[in-house]
Amino acid sequence: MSGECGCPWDPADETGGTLVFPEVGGYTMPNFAVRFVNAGLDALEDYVLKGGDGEWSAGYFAHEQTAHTREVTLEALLTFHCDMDGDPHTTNASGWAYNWAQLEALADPTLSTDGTQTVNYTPWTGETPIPLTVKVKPPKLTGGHVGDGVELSIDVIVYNPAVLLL
Amino acid sequence: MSDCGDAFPIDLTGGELVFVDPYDDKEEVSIPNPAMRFVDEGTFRFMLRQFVGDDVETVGTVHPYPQVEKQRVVPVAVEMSYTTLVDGTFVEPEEGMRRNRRLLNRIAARSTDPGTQGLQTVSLHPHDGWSPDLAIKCHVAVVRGAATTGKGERVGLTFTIPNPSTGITEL
Repeated sequence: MSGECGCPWDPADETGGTLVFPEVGGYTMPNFAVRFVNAGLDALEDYVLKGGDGEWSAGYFAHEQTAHTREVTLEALLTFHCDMDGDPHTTNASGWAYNWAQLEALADPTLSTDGTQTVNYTPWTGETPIPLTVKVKPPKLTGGHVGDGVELSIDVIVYNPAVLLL
Repeated sequence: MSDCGDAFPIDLTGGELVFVDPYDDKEEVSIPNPAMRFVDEGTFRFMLRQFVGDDVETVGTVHPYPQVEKQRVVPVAVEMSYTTLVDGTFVEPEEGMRRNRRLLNRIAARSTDPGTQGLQTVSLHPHDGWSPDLAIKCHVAVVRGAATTGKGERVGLTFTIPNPSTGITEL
């Protein structure tokens, strides 16, 4: 905490990696308004397989699984107290509305062309940013709003997960 | 008439909804009012977009497709008093319960009007100092929630916006 009226996390903790949205004004997470919780950006690196075996009357026959896409839920906290640059909001209501609108905007490219956008993911190791082709869904409100902020999640589909085979 | 009710102070921090054409020829109704106030997230969920649409998967690859917002369904939790009417009049709980429910039911009844495809206009005033005021064409449904014996009950209002891209406009 930086003080009663300051941002609850100051400075933004980037030790878990960062995610930059060049097509949405370069918005970067985490920031002073939003930080990841639980698995955070590490969730992007979880290998996800899809598909099951086939079944017929005498049993099952094997099918290889696929990893064409990776569907990831990023869990985060959003504070009402300040914006992504650390500038304070005058009221909780304006902080909530403004900070949430920034997250909603991240999903704007999902409505056009093929719905994808390129984001730059820098892992916690700090290595060279990895461009990911993703579709970003609007944020979901997942938890309480008492006092200081809310919990949220953002669903992301990664279309080139092979680049994450680290 | 009771001596005193439990009128809610008008608190706009959860936003304000105005039912512009609520029922019959009566004047418009706003929430919050002395008999109804927002709880939980108030009107915030009007901001949450709801995209749908799947990608197409073929052997060996996935073809991404854009998504679209066809509909937005917004639940809003309200606490309703039994002992105060929307104009601030104190009444006995039985009367307040019936009259306040009747008001909400009449608002919901507009969703059955074939002349408007069941749509009514609701004005949203977020009062957050940042978001614009909006006019919203929507259906309204009312779901009765848990009761607080003798004093009031929770009511769920569900707003269904058939086409957010045209049904939500700035005032």
